[in-house]
Amino acid sequence: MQEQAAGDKGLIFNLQRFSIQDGPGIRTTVFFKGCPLRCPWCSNPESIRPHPEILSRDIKCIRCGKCVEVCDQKAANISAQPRIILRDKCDSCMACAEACPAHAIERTGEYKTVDEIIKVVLKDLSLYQRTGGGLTLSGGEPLMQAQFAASLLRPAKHANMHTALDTTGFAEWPALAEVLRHTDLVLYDLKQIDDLKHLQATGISNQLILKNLRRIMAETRVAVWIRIPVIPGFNDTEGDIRSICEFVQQLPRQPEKISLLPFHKFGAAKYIALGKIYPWNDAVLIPDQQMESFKRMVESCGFSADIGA
Amino acid sequence: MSEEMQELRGIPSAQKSSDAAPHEWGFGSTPRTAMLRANLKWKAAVVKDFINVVIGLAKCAFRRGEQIRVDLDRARLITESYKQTDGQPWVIRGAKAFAHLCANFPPYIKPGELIVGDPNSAPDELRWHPEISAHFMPEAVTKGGFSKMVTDAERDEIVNDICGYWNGRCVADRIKAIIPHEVCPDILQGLATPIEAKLWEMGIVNPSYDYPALLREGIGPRIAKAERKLKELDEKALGMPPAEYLEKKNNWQAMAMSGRAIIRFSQRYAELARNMAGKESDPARRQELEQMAEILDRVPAQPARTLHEAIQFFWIIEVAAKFLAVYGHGGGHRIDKILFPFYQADLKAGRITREKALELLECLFLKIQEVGIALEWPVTFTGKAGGEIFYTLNICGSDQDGKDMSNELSRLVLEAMGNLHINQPPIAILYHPNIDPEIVDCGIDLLRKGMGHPAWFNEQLLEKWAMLRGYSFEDAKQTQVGGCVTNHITGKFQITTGAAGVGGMILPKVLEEALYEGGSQANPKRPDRPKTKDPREMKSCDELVDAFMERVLFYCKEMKLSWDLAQDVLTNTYPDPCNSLLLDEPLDRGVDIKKLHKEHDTYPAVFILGMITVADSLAAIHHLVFDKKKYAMDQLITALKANWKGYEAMRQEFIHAPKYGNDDDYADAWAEKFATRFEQTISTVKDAWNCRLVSDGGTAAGYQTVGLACGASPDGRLAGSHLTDGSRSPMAGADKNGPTAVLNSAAKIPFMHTELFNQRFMPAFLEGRNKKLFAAYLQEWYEKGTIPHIQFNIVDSSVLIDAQQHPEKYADLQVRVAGYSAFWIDLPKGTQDSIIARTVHGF
Repeated sequence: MQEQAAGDKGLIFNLQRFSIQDGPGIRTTVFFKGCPLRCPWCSNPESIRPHPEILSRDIKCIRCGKCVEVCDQKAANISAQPRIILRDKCDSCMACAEACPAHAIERTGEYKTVDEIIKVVLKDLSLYQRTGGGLTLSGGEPLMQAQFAASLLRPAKHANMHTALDTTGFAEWPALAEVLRHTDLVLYDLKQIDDLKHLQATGISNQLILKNLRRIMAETRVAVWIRIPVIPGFNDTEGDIRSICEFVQQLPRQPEKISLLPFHKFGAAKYIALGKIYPWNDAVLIPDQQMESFKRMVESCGFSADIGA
Repeated sequence: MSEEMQELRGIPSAQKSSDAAPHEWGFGSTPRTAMLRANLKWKAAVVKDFINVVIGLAKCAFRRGEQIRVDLDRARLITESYKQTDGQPWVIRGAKAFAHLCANFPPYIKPGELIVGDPNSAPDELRWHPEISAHFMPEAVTKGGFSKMVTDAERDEIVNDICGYWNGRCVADRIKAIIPHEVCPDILQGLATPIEAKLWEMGIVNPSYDYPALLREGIGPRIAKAERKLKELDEKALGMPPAEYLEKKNNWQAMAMSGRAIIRFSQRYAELARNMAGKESDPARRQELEQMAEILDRVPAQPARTLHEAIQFFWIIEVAAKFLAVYGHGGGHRIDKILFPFYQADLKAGRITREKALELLECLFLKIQEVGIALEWPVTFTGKAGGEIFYTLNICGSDQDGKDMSNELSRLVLEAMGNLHINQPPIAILYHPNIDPEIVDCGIDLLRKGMGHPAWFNEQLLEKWAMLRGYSFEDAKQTQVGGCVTNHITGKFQITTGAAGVGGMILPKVLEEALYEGGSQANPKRPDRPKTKDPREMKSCDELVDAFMERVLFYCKEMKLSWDLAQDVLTNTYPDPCNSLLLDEPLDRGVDIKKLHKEHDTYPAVFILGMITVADSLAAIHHLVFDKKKYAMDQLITALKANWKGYEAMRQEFIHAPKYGNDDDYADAWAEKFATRFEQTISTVKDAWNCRLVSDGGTAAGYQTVGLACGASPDGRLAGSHLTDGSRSPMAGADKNGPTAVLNSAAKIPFMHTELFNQRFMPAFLEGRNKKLFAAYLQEWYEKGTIPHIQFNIVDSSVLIDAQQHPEKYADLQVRVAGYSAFWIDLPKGTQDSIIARTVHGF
């Protein structure tokens, strides 16, 4: 790692325009790289590590050997078919990504300034205004770069954009509170009320997450959408969903809605591109009827609910 | 163009993408239209293989074993008549040939039909126009794509009797005979050169009539007017120059003859309907046939009174005047405006229900679908892939005061297309700031069905276009979309001569010349071509643009000469009395429509192919040769000549150079500069009638055909592969920042001429709450104020299935399925399956 995230730069792995799933209206979503959780079902595995990495896609490889030429660590090996990257040797120096003419090896994670990002975000300003859309910070976990997140939201608010934060909720309160000062809507992930299950699956306790949500409801007026990723074998029972609803019911203020996000495997190939094994590859998708019945249950608890994507 | 793309890939179109019909009885709002829809003959062919790409000789096949045949009736009757009228004035010959057709062309009525009339003598046949161009047909029916569409006896008749007569006599041959080949050697070379200037070989005519007036008055009074004019003319004969007297006399005579012929044509259908009624055992059908006979007896001679009469009036005129008399394409009628008063009156009188009106409209659309393209060269089937006849119908739009003109008929039009799932007629929505949001909503619903309907046009820009061409504000208000994206001004003189423009220009081929033939590399066989600078000595990409434009100018001058001469032949030897009768000014003045065309606007259009391919090429050259200095021009030229063979790594860098369509000024600036310079260059050339050359983005599916003839290009494209579609669309797959970025890129190019702009969306973006967002996207497109046209390809499962089978072809296909985008190739098979399944479930 030659570069470090400085205060005036953030580590971003994607800037997605025309996002329509991350809050109201047409939006631009900025994906922060780095996440404190280790959810094994994660659909954005490139979002986890807080530094740039390489993605390597065999199908694009033209076997020109440029990666082998530039790799000091001898991590690239083209004598194999398909070409392989020895990940334990790779030091993420990015030389191969820069050399690869076919973009078969690509860098994921760029250090960008607020200005660089805002310039892109502003390009669709008129569409945000037409649709009540704006800027969403997502990840990874934006709060791992809370200072940068806040400095990104500030000019967005100045431009009269609707702002949203998509978060795991795992952050120190002062950092979260600072970001919320510039946020209109929080998309707050609740995965599991049973702390042990939460800890076992994601590597962290849910106590801070639950506490932060309570404080958001008590101490701020920011709009909240709760999002429950429904994961097979982790929280896909009625009991799991019900206990989340019961927790939310006890909060000092209610969210605008609860979204159920069905587990999917769209990220599987990205694990391969990262040289990783996808732990949730064999999981069985949750049938639509099951999702519908969860939705009805959430509604029966008095919430407005939808099934997201 | 989604259906066309599917056709090109050999995937059956439209209804495949949505297996569930909207009604239990099938596609159509009633069992009647569903039955008619089920029995449609599909006349769109797929070109399988080229026998000779230069002359456009190809093998082609129709959908799923559909047995389509060459229609001999029209060609035979036309030939019979012309053989008998040798030596008579051309306009009289034309009128007599048309009258002969109308009196003898076999009519047919299918079970259940309510609206009748077909320019083909049977549902499974396709007509052709030997009087325009006959030279391709003997080869096409012998060893080309049409060889299985005729019997041995028919082949013999076509080769010997019909083409034998027209050889040297048809319009195209008459024009070819006068082109000075030494001065414009490229005109007859086909795809071997960067220009395709023989549009007169196709003979396209796109007249659009003032239907509200025609329906109100009938054509009877027009015939009477021609006869009255003849009488008055004779009275004034003494004081007139003989040439003028003769011209007017012949014209009015021919017009009157043509008008009577149309009425005869309609009456023959009436007779057929009455005969069939006599033999019909089902009393309900018998009554229908009797009613149809009454209607066909009445219209188009007399005014239409009901919606049924109005639709039949409209269609019989279209069949006779547009498809039988001439090689007509679209007309650009505002169908909702034309038919609404009749619908309203019927409702008021209790004569009709909404359901019945919808059924009648569906009956009309099914007739339009079955017209099919007239046979040209077999290559036509790629250029017009999907069986496009450019028969665009317009809806919505605003009146003089800016008030929305959409009405219940506009809604019915959208509904009918949604019910039928057919690709003709293309529906164009004339979008304006006051358009009814509910109609927009209906339009989005129709789009969602994945057929490509409707296309959206910026009404204000259509009007601006008309005013730039010198039309009055009032006339400009009558602008609508006629052809692919070409505009028409109702009742005026757009594209009525038989040559749709000065020609097509294949821009990547011009670039090839600028790169390969600069400086000392000049082609020794072509000393007439401009001497442009050796690209190896160029200091900037701008110099390459200069060299390019010099060559553009050279070809424009060649095309202009061919156009001027061809127009002269067309005007003097291929008049159009039938369409002259139906328009006011020719009828009032006794002047043929083709001659008036020159007084008003010849529209010397240059159809631009591969505009963005060149813009991307320039951006890549600027980036890698001049800016980063990574490659020398010489290396690039060597790699291009080798079709990138042995230079794959280098090609990848050119592929990944900045591309138009990503809202990146670096690349977009080249598109802007190139488009503007191109327009400036061609507009310096004027035709013989003082009209400046102007671009037209209506290139249909030509980007695929002409791509076959183009070498490798600096955007990383391989030789023979397709060019960018449309004139403002990014290269397929090159736009990676989503639809808002594409829109921003496209909006950077100033509005100068008609354009074709394709966008691709996943169906999910047009559903549920997203519909509102999509409507906002359309609004944004309109308010950008520089993009006259937008159409959407709602990527459906058949494309995705193909992508699954051939992932290498779709390395850059992005599907935005969940809350984020994914590259198709990044998705595991199971996930791909689920997306394909989900897409289909949506229908």
